[in-house]
Amino acid sequence: MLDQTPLQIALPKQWSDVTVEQFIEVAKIDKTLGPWHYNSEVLYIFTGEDIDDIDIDECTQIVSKFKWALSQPSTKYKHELLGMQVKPLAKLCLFEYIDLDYYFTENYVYNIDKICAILFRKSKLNEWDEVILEPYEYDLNARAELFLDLPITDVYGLINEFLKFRDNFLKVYSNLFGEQDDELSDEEKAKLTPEEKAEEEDEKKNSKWSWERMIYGLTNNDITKSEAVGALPLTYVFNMLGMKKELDI
Amino acid sequence: MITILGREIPNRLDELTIEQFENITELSNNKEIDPIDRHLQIFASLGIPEKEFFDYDVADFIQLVKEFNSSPKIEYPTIETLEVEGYNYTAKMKLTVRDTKLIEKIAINKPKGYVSEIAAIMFKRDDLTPAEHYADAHIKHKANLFKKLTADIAIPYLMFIATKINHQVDAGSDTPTDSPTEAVE
Repeated sequence: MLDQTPLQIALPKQWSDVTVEQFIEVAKIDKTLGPWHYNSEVLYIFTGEDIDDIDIDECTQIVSKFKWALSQPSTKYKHELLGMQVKPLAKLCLFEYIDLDYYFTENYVYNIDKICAILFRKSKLNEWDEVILEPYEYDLNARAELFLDLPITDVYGLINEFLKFRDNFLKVYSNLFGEQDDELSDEEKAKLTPEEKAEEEDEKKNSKWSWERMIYGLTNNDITKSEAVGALPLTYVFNMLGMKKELDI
Repeated sequence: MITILGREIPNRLDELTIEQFENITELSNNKEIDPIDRHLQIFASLGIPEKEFFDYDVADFIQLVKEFNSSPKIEYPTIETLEVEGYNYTAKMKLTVRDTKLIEKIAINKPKGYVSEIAAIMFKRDDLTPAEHYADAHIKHKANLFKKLTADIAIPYLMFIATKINHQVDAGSDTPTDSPTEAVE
């Protein structure tokens, strides 16, 4: 439902009137350029209207109509969209989790379309009438595009859901992930001895390639097996890694 | 004008150029220099070399500073039209979103000549289109021309902008600090 302002600009009235694409664009606005830059960009994204030449009093009147945008969209989400359903997080395979972890760490708002593309899957019934989800073999970018025109409220809750899942996952397998050190400040770096600097560099390299290193280890250094390992259920892989570590085998 | 060491020194907005006003403001806001040194530099920027004060009594100098800063409070009339180098410029007590965005950019970056730049945004040359008016190079050129005008031309507009923007912030049109579109990873 769009609202007509005194200037006849049709504004969204709630988050459900805002698409995933608009939500991502709003997130990408450079906020350091000041509130008026931000407001005019938001209005342009929401309405497609260039408001640069209107009086700021009129603009304030318009902006006051979308104060609802200061609150979060609902943390609920639709479990079925575009003929697809959300894959239960507990059933994620290793590669799916690695990709989700990458998109979340990079910026989960900018990547919400890709996150949806990983989680929403086509399905069918097998000969035993059980639901089978499509494998993670499709074009992720093409799938992500399908979500851009949907209301943000259809999918926003997935962010919270995955964050909770990941938080719990990291706690359960904390012995496998180890402690994450905070990035050193320039001042702290300047105080490091050459040995400490080398150690820090090694840690950085290890952290950068941690998933690849893990897969390399799981495939016994045979990268031709990495697809098969990546398709294994996440919890199975980590249970096996936990067992290996505990038994030191 | 105030007479210091036999020299006539401007101390009112209709006597100071915008450039002088900008220099004084910049020096006044510099908390890294002590008040005596700050005023020595202010007087130097207005044409009295620092060395001429070297034998001056500190108490007398403080008195001088007080006199310099005690210019009468005058309600300067708003000047809406100007003629500079053969061109007419008009300003209105009105802010568009585009004006505000440019002023906001100046306020964030705080360049040295911010008063002249704001005056350059407010005063629009009558013979130019909006696109030409808002061109970066044109604003800079105009700011350079306006620097030589007296500060009373720009100050009413600065006051208007400050009041307007404060009013807008009070009305709640500022950027959300905890935007829902911001990842909190």
